[in-house]
Amino acid sequence: MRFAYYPGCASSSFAKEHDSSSRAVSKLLGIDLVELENWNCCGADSVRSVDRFASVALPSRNLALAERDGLDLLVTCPGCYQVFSRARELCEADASLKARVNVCLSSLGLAYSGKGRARHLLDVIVNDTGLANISQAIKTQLTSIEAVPYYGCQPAGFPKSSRFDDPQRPQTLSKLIATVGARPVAFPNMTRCCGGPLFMTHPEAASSMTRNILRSAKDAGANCIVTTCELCHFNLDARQSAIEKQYREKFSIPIVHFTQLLGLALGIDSRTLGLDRNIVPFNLL
Amino acid sequence: MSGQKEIVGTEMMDPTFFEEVKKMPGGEKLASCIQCGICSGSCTTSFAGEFNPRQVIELIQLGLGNRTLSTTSIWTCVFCRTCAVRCPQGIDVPELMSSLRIMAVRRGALPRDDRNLKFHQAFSKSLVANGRLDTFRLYSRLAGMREIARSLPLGLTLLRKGKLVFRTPAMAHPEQLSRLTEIPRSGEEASSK
Repeated sequence: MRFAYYPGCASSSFAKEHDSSSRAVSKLLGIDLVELENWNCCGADSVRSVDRFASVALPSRNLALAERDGLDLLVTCPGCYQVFSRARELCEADASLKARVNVCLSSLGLAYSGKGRARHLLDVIVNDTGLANISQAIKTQLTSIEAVPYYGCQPAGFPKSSRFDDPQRPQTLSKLIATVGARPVAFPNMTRCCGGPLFMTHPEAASSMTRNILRSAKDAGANCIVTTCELCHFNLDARQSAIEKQYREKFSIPIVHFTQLLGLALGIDSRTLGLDRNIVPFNLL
Repeated sequence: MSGQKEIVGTEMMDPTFFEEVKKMPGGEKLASCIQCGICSGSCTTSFAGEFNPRQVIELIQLGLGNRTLSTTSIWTCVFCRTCAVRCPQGIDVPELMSSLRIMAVRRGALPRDDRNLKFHQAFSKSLVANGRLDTFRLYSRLAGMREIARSLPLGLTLLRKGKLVFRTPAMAHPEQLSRLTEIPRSGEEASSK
């Protein structure tokens, strides 16, 4: 299995541990990642608020670069995954839009046929590698972990053709948590937004949303939150102590990327997984 | 009723506004909205704005263009799409919000609270300049001195943990991206007419 790896902006700055753990886990599972050469930012939520055409053309450049190499794009950030999937779906639905994207791409020596697509690492691990194969590769059963699966709001945003789970009641992460020997804890807010997108503009609103996730995870009886999104991770982990002060509540709940959790079970050392970068100490093993 | 203009509050109802929005991405199925409110029961962020999604759609249906375009509510949507997944009529509310934002800026109908507008503009600018998002610079540009001072303890923790990158490495030749944003701007007008 070979992919063009798209780290994205979050994994290149405040979530480097998601990058290092994704690479390490992939290598061990035989998922071959070749970093996409000179990739550009997908545009996230912002470009679509400013320039609709660019919100399709900018991600299409990355898809076209991967397509040139005959590879699908492997993405670790669900936000980027949503953007790439939306661009592909809009192009498939509107031939004239796709033609205009290709006019622009051709001035860069590129073309996008629509064949190449983005894949999310969680999807590739659970559905391509498969849970049975993962079970066999497990070195340590993580029995002391009782984790809520937290997808964040992105899975509902994946267009139909790019869904790998139910948008409102996803199960992929719970299955992965169970496969590594930990206990998945039922969690009503698993697809509720963490407030991350409003962190820089409406900090008060963002904090109340983040607090809601932390509180309900504690109330569900979890000792850990497993995330799939870098922004959720940052918001729940790095801002946890500020939120504790603001609301005068104590959470002290470690937040781990799903790749860190899997990596631990696969026997990868915690430094490679970047666990020392997590702000809330991970002390469950 | 079409063709006639009625007055609601201080604004004239303009049926042409509804017609115009129906032609934009996300607006296609607006006439079928039954005002059931599932979108609003699902919305994570409407508490941070003026109106919930059902009310925004009602403003459009009433033809209150200025009120619709200048509300902060079209800017507090985080595109989580929970509403779109649940809407019984298949209305793509987030896509509609994107269209309304672009229309609002084009018409100069800016929201009183323009923090999200400024964020999206600064983000897009940073992207086109570097090819990749420079998170720290974006933050320091947007947050005021008071907010930066308040976040100092977090900043120091991030620094200690290697999570604070002062300068995200840019892509090579980011100027090539202007081919993907400038030419289409005129094309985009054509598609939304």
